[in-house]
Amino acid sequence: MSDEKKAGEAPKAAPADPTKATPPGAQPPAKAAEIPPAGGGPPVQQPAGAPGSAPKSQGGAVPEPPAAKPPAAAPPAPAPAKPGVVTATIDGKTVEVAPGTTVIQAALQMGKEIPHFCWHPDLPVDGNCRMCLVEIEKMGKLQIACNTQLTEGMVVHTESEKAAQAHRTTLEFLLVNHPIDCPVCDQAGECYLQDQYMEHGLHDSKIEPEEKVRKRKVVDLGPIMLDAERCVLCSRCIRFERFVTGTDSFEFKNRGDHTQIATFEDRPITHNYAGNLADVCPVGALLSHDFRFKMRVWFLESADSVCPGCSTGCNVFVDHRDGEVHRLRPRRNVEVNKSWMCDVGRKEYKEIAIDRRVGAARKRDGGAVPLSQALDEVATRLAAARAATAFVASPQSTNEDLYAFRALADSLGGMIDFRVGSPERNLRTLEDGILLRADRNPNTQGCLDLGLGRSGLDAILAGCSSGKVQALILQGPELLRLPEAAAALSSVPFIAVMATHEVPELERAQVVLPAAMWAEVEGTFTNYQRRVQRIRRAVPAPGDAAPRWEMAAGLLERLHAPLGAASAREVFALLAQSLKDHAGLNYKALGATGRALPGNGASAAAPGA
Amino acid sequence: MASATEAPPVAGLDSPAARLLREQLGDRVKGVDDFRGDLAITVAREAWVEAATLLRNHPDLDFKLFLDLCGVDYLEEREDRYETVLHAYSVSKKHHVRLKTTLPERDPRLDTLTAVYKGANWFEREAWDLYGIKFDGHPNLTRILTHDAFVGHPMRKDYPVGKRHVLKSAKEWLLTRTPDPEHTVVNIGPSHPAMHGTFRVQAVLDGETIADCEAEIGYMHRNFEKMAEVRTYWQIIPYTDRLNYCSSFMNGHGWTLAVEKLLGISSPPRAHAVMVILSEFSRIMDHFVCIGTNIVDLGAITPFFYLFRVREEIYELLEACCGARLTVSYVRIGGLANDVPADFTDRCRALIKSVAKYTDECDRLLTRNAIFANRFKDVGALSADDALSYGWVGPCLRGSGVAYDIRKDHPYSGYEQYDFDVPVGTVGDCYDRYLVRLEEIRQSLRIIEQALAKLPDGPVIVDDKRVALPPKEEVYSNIEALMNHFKLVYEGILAPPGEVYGYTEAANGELGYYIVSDGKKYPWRVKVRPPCFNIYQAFPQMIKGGSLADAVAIIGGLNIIAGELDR
Repeated sequence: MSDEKKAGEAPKAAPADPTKATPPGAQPPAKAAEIPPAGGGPPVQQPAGAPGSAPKSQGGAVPEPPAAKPPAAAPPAPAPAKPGVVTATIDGKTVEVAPGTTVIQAALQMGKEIPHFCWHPDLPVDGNCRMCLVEIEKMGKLQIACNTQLTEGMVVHTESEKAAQAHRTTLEFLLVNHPIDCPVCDQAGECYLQDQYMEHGLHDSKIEPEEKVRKRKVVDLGPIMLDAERCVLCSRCIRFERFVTGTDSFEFKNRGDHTQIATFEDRPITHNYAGNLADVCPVGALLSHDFRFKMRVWFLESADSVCPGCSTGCNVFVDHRDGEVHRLRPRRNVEVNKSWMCDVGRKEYKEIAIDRRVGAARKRDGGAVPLSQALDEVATRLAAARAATAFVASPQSTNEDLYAFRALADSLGGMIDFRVGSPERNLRTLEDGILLRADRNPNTQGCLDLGLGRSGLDAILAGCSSGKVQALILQGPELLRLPEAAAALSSVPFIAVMATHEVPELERAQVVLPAAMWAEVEGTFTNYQRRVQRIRRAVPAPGDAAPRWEMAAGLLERLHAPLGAASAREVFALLAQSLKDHAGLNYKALGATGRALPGNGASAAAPGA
Repeated sequence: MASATEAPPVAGLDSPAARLLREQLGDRVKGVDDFRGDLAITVAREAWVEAATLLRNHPDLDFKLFLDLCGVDYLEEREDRYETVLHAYSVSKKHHVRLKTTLPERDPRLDTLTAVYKGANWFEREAWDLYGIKFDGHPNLTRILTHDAFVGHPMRKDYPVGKRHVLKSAKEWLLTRTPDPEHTVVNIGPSHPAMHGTFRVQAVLDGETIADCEAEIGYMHRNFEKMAEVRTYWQIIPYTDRLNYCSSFMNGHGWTLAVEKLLGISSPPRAHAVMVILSEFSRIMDHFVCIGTNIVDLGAITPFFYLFRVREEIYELLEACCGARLTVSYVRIGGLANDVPADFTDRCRALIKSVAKYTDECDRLLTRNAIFANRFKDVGALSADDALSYGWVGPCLRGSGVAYDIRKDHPYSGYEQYDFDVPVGTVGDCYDRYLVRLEEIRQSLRIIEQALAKLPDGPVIVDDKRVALPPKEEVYSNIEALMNHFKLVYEGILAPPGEVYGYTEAANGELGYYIVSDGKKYPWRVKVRPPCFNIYQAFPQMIKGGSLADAVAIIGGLNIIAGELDR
């Protein structure tokens, strides 16, 4: 339904690029945000703007967000304590914020989370849940913090007796018709109602279960399951569909106690961002079909990482337990992906599973061997061939992998390139208009930055055919798949390939080295914005599989040209020393959201340069 | 644990300890804290020995009782990764103190305190074993709880919880000095019935005299403290049962009080009264084990049978209350899991009679028995000074003449309401320890009778939704109670950030829990202050120069329970 255009409909507001300032008409974010805590709970901060103009709508049932009002009782405003900055007091602490910041945003900046349901840092304000009511001195009634701008000298009490009572009674209302579903609801463990009940509710129920209004349960919307009874009518899904994907799938139907969320004719969600609906829903009304009933979230640990699906590099949480990854969730990064990620990326976790993974090194004639033995063989061949070697890097590798690989090529004087299929051409091409890019590699930019487009793939293949290349080392099986390369490959006496998955083309190599995947290593990727971001190890690699940089270091050791690094952190330090744009960077400086290199968009190390 | 009847406040930021340390150390005192009334002083590590010496020797401070020394790993949370924490007590001033210092990750070294407190020896070995903290000047800094094939320091935060190492062969040689070739080397234990619960001593015998010996423990080390870091406060309760399993209820009692101290709440009066009654019965049970097994080692079987017979009846009482006999898991944070059965008072009164009868029998059989006196009198005496320096507590310390009983000096759970005496010995030999225990049993019966008479009505669990589970009828019929139940089970109780040391008078003496909370659902650190660990540390010294037969007599009377010794 979301894709079909109906005749004569009014032009929609263009779907927002989540990486730019939020929804049309809204104000840009006031200040850089902090990272939301792992493991669910209300996301921390940042403005999706809101104060000001209401975005265009099409007669929707979504209540228009009212324009934020400055305090009603308005004696002449006191001169600001600090010019250009609003200074006010929240819970006895002084805060200084940019003008236009709402109370809820300001509270988050000082580390205080005001309870809320409908507010979301990356969606326009709606103000319908009434949970974020706070007491503001000189204002008679309680005000909603999400849509009230902080003004100079304002004194806010977020947990005064009146405010606490308002939180409790709002929760009571929200729970009046809420089904007794916790044991069968996936949201348990990351549910706003559960969390806020313990912090702000703790009241006794006054309702009998028979009195509750019944609505539809288990409505299959494709990638998403809808349970209308659990919905708290916050309209986050409606606003997401309207302002992020522009597909307008959801609306409220019926009214009063019987209001329900629904898609037209229960048609499924077909766009590439369905998973975000489950993330954005604060309760168990919208849940991921893929994750349904698989794992209770309190058993999961979360590792901060970056999706490897394309060159956007959406920040993610890798949720795992006992060495198995159960899902990926977006991790908020205002510069890259806001709070969203696409479904293509979400499915990436399925590739990590052990079956079909290469768990041991092997030789074509001989079967599985210990990794050290395989490395011995490769090193022997390299030592014999010296400059008659070629190296094909993979834009699937981390910067650390690439650096060590380049060091290997440099130590022998062999050829090196990475451009199997011209990934750099699609590096910045936005494929679905929102997040997914056409370059489905996470680190093409890293290859460019390290100058790996040096020799040219044609030259390498020519060298293979002519016999100039005696040993060919591949960081991934991409080249083995290329039909045009088949002839050249069959002429090379020795091919070694680092591979993560068992694919038929590995047959063409003499030695297969087992490579660890992105969720199994420490390292960094550089996205299309030239933003260097850390990935963190979530689960152990299967069997003998090792990080690519570690295997390259093993080869360098055997060639008596040691890399000089014993951890990914140390490899990155060497890398930062060797590249001008990376000077001064280290893992600590990258932090949780990464750092953009200078010359954003313009690659200093252009291909062939 | 301070009650209203405590001596004048010596806590607080301007307590004598803080003041005197500041005067002497100046800016080497890095911080003073009194969260929940616990005085905690952090000093620079260069001042560690000086500070401990001052605390121990200064007449206004007199912290002569060594309680505990442990490591804490703060990983990246703090600038210096490790902390070493000392707990000590002043019997004369009736006050506890916590002394801390921080150690950087690259160089976790600290001077040994073995010259200040004898008990520090094993504790420093444990901190080395579990954390990799090196103590300069320690006479024998080797592993003590983990085995010799173990690699790594398991209590470090980056050591995976489930990681194990297989031990393929036992350590044959424990002795550090080469014995005279004329002498015989014997292993006493670990699989010896007289070594109650697997511990081992390698002794060099010159005829029947023990010329030299060395102890080895850790056979029952299960790293309770590591498990505590990945369990909620409730989930830890069954683990506490398995510390001193001869009186498991008392471990839970101490645990819930320590956590309540951290939370700033208290169980309701009825829960406290029941806890007193069951703790005293558990104390009696534990003393029966001690006396019974001690005496059976020497060949007197009859008292052993009698005492274990009456223990069965105490087990039945516990079973009626909570369904379990040995490892009861009966406490909850904030009170008890459920109320006692309707006939509780009658059962207890019958049990008092039974216990009194068997105690008297035991008394008649042993106390003035010539053989018994011969085996026990003037055997295994430890001076009060040594006892304090090692960190002896409970009946063993009181046997040596030091009248320290937490129930009197820092009453908890309403002990101040009950009239009872605390028996104290004079010589500190096995006979004194036996008499102290025997009399403690009688005093426990007095306490139980008074507690029964005063047993208040009311709930047995605190009325606080953040701590206690809602009733099941509520959980199944409304969403609020269901959510409450869910959050309490999968997240547990959220204690405020901070640290406390909670302590109770368990059967063997001061059982303490040092809990560090970071505000999350699992505690950051739990250190059990295990009375058996301090007591057993003195054992090798006590038996050197004595006969093998005396060693057997001594070990039984110390009541070493491996579950508490090794954790």
